[in-house]
Order: sequence, then structure tokens, then C-alpha cells
Amino acid sequence: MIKLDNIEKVYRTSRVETVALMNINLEVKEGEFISIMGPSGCGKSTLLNLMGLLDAPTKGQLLINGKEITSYKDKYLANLRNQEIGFIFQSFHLVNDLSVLDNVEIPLLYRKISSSQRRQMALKALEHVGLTARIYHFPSQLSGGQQQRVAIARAIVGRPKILLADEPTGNLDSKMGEEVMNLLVGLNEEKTTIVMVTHDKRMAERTKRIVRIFDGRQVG
Amino acid sequence: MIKQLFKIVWNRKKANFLIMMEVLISFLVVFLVMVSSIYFTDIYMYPLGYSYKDVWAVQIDTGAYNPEADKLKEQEIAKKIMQAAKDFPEVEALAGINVIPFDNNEWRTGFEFAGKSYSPAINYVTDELPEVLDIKLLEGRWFNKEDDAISETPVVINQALSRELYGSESAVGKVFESGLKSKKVYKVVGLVSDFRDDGELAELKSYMFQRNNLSSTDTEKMLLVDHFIIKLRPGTPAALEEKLVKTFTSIAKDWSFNIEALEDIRYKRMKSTLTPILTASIVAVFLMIMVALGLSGVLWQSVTQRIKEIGLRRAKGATQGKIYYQILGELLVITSIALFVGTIIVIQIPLLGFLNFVSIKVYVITLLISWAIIALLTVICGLYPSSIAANIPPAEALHYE
Repeated sequence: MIKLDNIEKVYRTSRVETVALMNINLEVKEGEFISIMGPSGCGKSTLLNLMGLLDAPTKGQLLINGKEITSYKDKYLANLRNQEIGFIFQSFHLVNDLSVLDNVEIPLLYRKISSSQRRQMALKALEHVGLTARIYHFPSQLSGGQQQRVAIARAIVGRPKILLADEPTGNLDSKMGEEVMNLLVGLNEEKTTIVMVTHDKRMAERTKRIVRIFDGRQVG
Repeated sequence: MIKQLFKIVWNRKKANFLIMMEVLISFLVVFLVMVSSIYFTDIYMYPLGYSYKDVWAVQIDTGAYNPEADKLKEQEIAKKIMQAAKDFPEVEALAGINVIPFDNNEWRTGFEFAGKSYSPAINYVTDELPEVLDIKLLEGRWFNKEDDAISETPVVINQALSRELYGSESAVGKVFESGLKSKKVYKVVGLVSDFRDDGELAELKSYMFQRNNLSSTDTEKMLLVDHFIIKLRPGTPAALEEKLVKTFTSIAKDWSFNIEALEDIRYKRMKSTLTPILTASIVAVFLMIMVALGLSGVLWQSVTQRIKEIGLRRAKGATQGKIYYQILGELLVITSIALFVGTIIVIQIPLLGFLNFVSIKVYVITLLISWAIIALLTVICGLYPSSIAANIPPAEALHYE
């Protein structure tokens, strides 16, 4: 499903060159649930950004569904992100000026579907995360756990095959973190491929495979 | 998507209020500048109704007003002066006139007609005026010897007065009474398109010429000529002015004379009208530049505050183009709301009785042009912030602090 072949990511400024990732070889198979672990600044989020087509590798090949995508243009990559990939972020990234329902609808705005269909899909996603009672609330009126559940609903509303989660429980207490993790496990059981970056060993142990990164290198 | 734009703009109403106010104020400034510019451009396009090239105006000052003065004797002297001017080979034609074109002077007369009051501008002129000022008649004739025999007072009117009095009917041959005690009866003998004696930038008005018969001995029918205008051969040197004054002074030693080309009088009049307009326009241009800079700043700040959201939208499938058009689209929605409010405000101006001299046509054109200018200005101001927003790499935007 996702294949990284000898991937390298270097950030360059006029004076400094920072190697964020080096020689990364990783394959994520369909239906897998893997976690990426490592200390802060080791390159976990960079790796997730590359897999999510939010950034381009400096070297190496990145394949999604067997297609080498590093040379594709913005429009194609945006479409691929929209159709195939869902993102969950540590800080939720909800738009505070939009209601829960409108937030969940965001990925669908970039698809050619009617507003009634959009609404239906968003309601279904919210039902999935147990938030149908809060659809007209604004993010500021929700708890952290509820906000992350909205973010999960937004990530799954377009029925993507891949879910990329960047420390999804990092800002939550253990109980709420557990709830979110249960949701992710459930989604994986429904055949969604999940790649999760985490610091939390307990959460990582609930995934099928752990990939460890240290100083930009894959160590396990 | 349009519904989403309106929703976002509405939900961010507090943040968008400042931009909306900037757009609204700029619209009002542009509207006020444009309404005067378009009004003057519009009236400038109307025909002047005469030619002022190679025409000089002579003003006669008979000294302090003396009610006991022998009017007939003074008229005789004035006629001698006019004859002396006519004798110069450089002078092609000469006519007596009460109000000189472009001179900051106006005479009005008042009368009632069909139950309505009218107060057109009036000018007392001699029979030779069309030759001097190249006035073309649309209908009827100019004053001539025939008028000595008619009992009514002959008048030539402009189209505006004709329309006011008779609508689409022909005015020539019709009569109306003056509002004076003497109940003077006017007879329309001719129609001209217009005679804009205040110049091209003055408001259009109803106008009538009354015959000044210098050969009449009836002081009611004759008005002392204290101005006359002369048409000169092209290329006549300015030195003629001195010769003319000398000749006139030899006829009337106690009188003084002032000679000035109509072109010079027109220039002075134009200058006095245009100077405040140009000053206001320059101030408005500077104001617009300040508004544009302010608007760009506010938009740029607004985009900066939304970088994370932009990153999120990019992550969720928005292309650079979609982000670009979303920011511009939001700006256009804000602009449209501000223009809507602005339009409601400017519509009140004529409803409250201000700017009545501006026609509906000019008002509508001004509204359309002001809308276009503000829309263009906001789009130009929004291009740079939109392009910044569209070009932020999504990974960077998501982690922007």
C-alpha cells in the first residue's frame, strides 16, 4: 500500500543543512496498523508527512498503491490526499469558526458531491465516533477527547484507505486516549490501514507492528 | 462552495468587520470623488452652444450709478463706441450683450406658466449675436427688424426651457407672460440647442435671450449696453486692444473700458472650477493608496492567522488553486457585503435631497464605476495574501506557530 524505498529528507537553508531522514525503507501493507516510535525530533513526523504527501523526499522513491508519486504535480497529489488518505493530528487542527458538522465536511468540499450527500456522509462519520448530539457545537465547546473524535470523523468521512495519525493521543488524558485508541483499532478492524506516530509505548503495543526511528534512521 | 464561503465569512464576522469597514469607507470616498468627476465629465460633453474663438469682450464702465443720468444720451454714446469698433478692419462682427460668456454673472427672470413657476437665466442681446458667437438655430429665427413691428417681446429660448414649457411640442410661435408687474408678453421666435454662458463645467439650465433693440427710443424695450463682444479676424494681434481703448476713450472721456479675450475669461473660470476638484481628487488618490496598503496589511494578517487552517485544508485535498480562490472568494464576499451597505448609504443621499443636481443616469454610472473600482482594488490587494496562502507548503503550514 505504502512503500518507502531508500528515502532521504534533507532541509537546506543558505547556511545549514539538516538531515531529517536517511535511508528509510519501509513497507506498509493494506490493513496494517503500525506505530512509529522514537524520541522528539528524530524525524517521525517528517516520515508521516512524506507518507501523507504533504512533503516531498529529497531522495528515494515513495510508492502509494504501487505508483511512484514523487514526480506528480500538486493537483494529483491533492486529489490522492483527498481520496486515499485521512489525517489525524495531535492538536486536532479543527477550524474554530466552523461547527462540528462543517469541520467534518471539509474533505468533502474538495470532491464533486452535492451538499446533501456531504451532510449525510458527515453525519455518518460523526455517528461512527459517537458525536451526533454535538453536530452544531463549535470546537471550543468540546472537550479534548471530543475534539479528537471530531478530527477522526473528519479523517474518515471520505472513506480513505489509509489513516495517518500524528500522536493522536498526545494531548489527551489516559481515559480519553484510550477511547481514541479504541476508535482507531475499530477502524483498523474495518480494513483501514493505519500509520500512527506515538511516544506512548502502551498505545504502540496495541498496534500490529512498531517501527523505531532514531536520529533520522530506522533502527527497528 | 459559495454557501461555505458565506458561512465562513459570517462565522468570522468579528475578524472580518475591520476589512468590511475599510472597504465601505473606501467605497464612500470613491463614490464621492466619482460622482463629481462623472457629473463634470457628463456636463462637459454637452454642446456649449456657441464659439468663443477670436472673440473679445469689451466692458464699459460709465462711472458711479446715477439714476438721473440721461439713458438715451448714454445709449447714443455707447452706440458710437460700438460703431467705432466696427470700423476697425480686424473686427468681423459686433454685438451687444448683457451677460458675457464665462463671466461669473447671471441674470434670471421669473414667470408662471400653466400653474408652475419658472426662473430661467436671461440675457439681453442685440441682433448681431449669432454672427459673433456662431450660434446655430435649431428652429425659427434670430431677432431682426421684423421684431420692431410685433407687440410682444421677442425671445429665443434653449431646448431645456422649451421642454419645460411645452414638452415635445414646438415652442416657436408660442407666447407666455412674464411675472413682472407690467405683464410683459413674450413670443418665442427661435430655438437654440443651448447657450452655456457659465462654461462647459457649469450646470445645464433653462435659458432665454431677449432682444435689446438699440434703435428703440422706448427705454422699456432698450437696455443700456454696458458690454459688447467683437469677433476678430483670425490672427489679430493683441496690440489691437490698446488701439481700441484709445479710440473708445476719445469718444467717452469719462468712461473706462476693459477688453479681454473670451478664451482668457474661460480659462480663469475653468481654473477656479477645476482647482478644488483636482485637489479633492489628489487627496482621494492618496487616500485610496493608504486604504489599499491598509487593506493588504489586514488581509495579510488575516491569512497569517489562518495558516494552520490552510495547511489542514491542503492536507484534506485542497489544491493550491482552491486555497487561492477561497481566500479571494472570501474577500469578494466581504467586499460584496460592504458594497451592499455602501449602496444603501449612497442611495439615501438623493432621497434626503442632497446632490439633486446629479441626474439618475450619472448616479447609476457612478455607482457602477465605484463598485468596479472597489472590487478591482480589493482583488488586487487580495492577490498577494492569497498567493502567500496558496504557496505555503502544507507540512510547514500545519506546524506553523
